[in-house]
Amino acid sequence: MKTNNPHGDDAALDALLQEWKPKASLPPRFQEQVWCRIERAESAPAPTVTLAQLFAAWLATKLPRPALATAYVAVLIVIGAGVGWSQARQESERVSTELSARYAQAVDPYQTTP
Amino acid sequence: MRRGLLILALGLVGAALAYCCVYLMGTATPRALMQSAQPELAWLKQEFNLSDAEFTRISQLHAGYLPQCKERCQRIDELNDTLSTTLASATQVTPEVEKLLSERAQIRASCQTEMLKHFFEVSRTMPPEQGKRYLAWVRNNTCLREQAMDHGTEKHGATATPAHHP
Repeated sequence: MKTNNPHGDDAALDALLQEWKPKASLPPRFQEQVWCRIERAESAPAPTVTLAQLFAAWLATKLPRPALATAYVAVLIVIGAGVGWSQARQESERVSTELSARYAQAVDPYQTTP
Repeated sequence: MRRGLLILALGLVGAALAYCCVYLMGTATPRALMQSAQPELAWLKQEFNLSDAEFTRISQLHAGYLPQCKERCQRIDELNDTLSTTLASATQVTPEVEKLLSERAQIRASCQTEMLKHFFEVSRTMPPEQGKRYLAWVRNNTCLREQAMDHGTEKHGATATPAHHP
């Protein structure tokens, strides 16, 4: 807040502060205690962030971004389709091998059963 | 956070749906083959791109061939039993043993000849290119391709395996 005569007040305040001498004395071993507290603070482990917390933060802040969300869903769909295609191909090959063996066994009794 | 979880779940559900759709589409043909009345013949149709008419004809050939083949196999099994009984009491190669061995060899040769005739007949029913492929396939996958002879230097299945139909 501005006063009407700021320079006069400042001079008075300065004079008053010059005269002021603190009378309270410091508690015993004050300086030592301060250093102890500093040491304790420095030696205390820094707060760790767990993977779950990082994931939760990513989930709350980064994933909802439209571009990332779209890319994430698209990538998962492609992965799902890829795995499905690969397994379908393996299954087709397995069935084809099994049926060809069955045909050979049917027409050729000398086939040995695997 | 809730929106993030929703997107996370959406991605996982999308992946599962994509997997199921692609897997079901990719296995439609083999599932149809397995569910058919004669899966091995259905495989033949699919493998050699047979038309319905060709498939019907080949199915008839197959149905006609199998009973005769089973009959010959049964005769070979009977001869095997007789030979075993005879050999159990024999101390040398008797004329009877010779006769049994000869008869068994003849039926085996006849069995393979009839099998080969069947293969040729089936191949002629197919389009020429597929017929060639079929003959190549039976050459490699039936007893027509016999194992190399050896005297125990390699671990082949040298012992005679019983002839049997599935």
